[in-house]
Amino acid sequence: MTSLRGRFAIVGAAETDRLGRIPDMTEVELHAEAARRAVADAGLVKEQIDGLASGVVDVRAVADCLDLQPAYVDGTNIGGSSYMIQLSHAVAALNAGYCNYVLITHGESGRSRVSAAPWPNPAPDSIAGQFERPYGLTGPPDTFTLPITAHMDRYGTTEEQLASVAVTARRWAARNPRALRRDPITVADVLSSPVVAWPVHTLECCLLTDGGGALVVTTAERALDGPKPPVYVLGTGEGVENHVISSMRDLSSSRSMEISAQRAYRLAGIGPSDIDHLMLYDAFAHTPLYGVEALGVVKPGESGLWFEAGCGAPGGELPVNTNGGGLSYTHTGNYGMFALLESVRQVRGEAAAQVPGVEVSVAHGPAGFFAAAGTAILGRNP
Amino acid sequence: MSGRGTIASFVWSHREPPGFDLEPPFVIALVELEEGVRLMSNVIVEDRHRVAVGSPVQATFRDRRNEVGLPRFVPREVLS
Repeated sequence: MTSLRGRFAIVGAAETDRLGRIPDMTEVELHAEAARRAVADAGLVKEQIDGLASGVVDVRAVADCLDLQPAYVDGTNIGGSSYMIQLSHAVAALNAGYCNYVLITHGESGRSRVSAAPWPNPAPDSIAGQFERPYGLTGPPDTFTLPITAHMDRYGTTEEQLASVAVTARRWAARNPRALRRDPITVADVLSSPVVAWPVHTLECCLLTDGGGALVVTTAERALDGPKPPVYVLGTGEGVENHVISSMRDLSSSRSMEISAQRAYRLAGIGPSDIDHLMLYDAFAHTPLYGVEALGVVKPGESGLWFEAGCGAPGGELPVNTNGGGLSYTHTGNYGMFALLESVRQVRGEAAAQVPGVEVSVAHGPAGFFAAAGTAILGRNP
Repeated sequence: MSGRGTIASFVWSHREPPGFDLEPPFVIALVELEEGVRLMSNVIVEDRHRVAVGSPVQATFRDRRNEVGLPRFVPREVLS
């Protein structure tokens, strides 16, 4: 198989003007604003877009709103990291010649819930409805978090180490004027914030915001025509593991995240030591622990020590979540688009908290609690 | 089924699900049964220190209202 490494690139990347509380915009309007800005960022006009992918809002509704007639559509919507997976599919579609420019859009009224579907409770006769919900589970804070005590027991991961993930994110957020929460916090602050589902405290839970973002992907040849330096797609991965958290194979590691990371590394021909900058989906403070282990940045069980030592913080060996993450920057519900956008900004050299000399950035995370995962490896050079 | 198992992972939920019979904080746990299957449940316990990953538990079918209810668990004394 011919390598896809460096043959496709992100040429447009943008967020909605506002993030946070946007009570005057519906979800499809958030998609549309992000799309307009990303297409303009790419130096393109709408008529050149012939591929479309979106999540949260049905791809058909986004196409209708934008009045696009795409030759390629992708409605993959399997959780927060769907956008890494849509990027993976977009590269395949471009390689197959289905289209020339793929627009990937996200928009979500996570806080204001304008036009948003009610939070999907499982049907009473579904697996989760029969075998999980009756025990007092209400949603992500008490369900997504459940595996972390297995990690703590197996490896000795401490509450303080878990809290240090939130402190790391906040330290980056302090350097980013667009981050929603920027006040400095300490491990003690995190541990004294109200408990949501022990060992997880309020400050270890992501924000809930409104906002959107979009990307434009094309071939490396076309990418050279744009106003911005191309951000090359070096490798992508996707993985699935379980349907409900009860059937996660090993509670102290994520198989889907490992599968996704390994495929992305294989396509890119790189390994963890080649990463200069890392975006890890942080719905809660524990998901970056699973993330650095799945990527092999650290050995299994060493993620807590790694974050506690400040390795992902400003001045650390591998900057993590430099926008402030879902914990302090923004988190609309499906945060993955914002992780990808920060990777793009860092590779371009235009991030608020810019890391010097980023050649390779990775955006990686779970989707649908730990049910699935997506990975994108982006580079300054093909 | 023996009804015997161990706690594979758990959280102390401080949330208040509508209509739920347990007062927060309550334990949501994944329990590994001796027979090799894992299931979501609650561990009914007063003493916080009796809940840990690996703790032995025993199934009970009495809920707080003392009616026959969901399969839940209580700490199991282990003879040593």
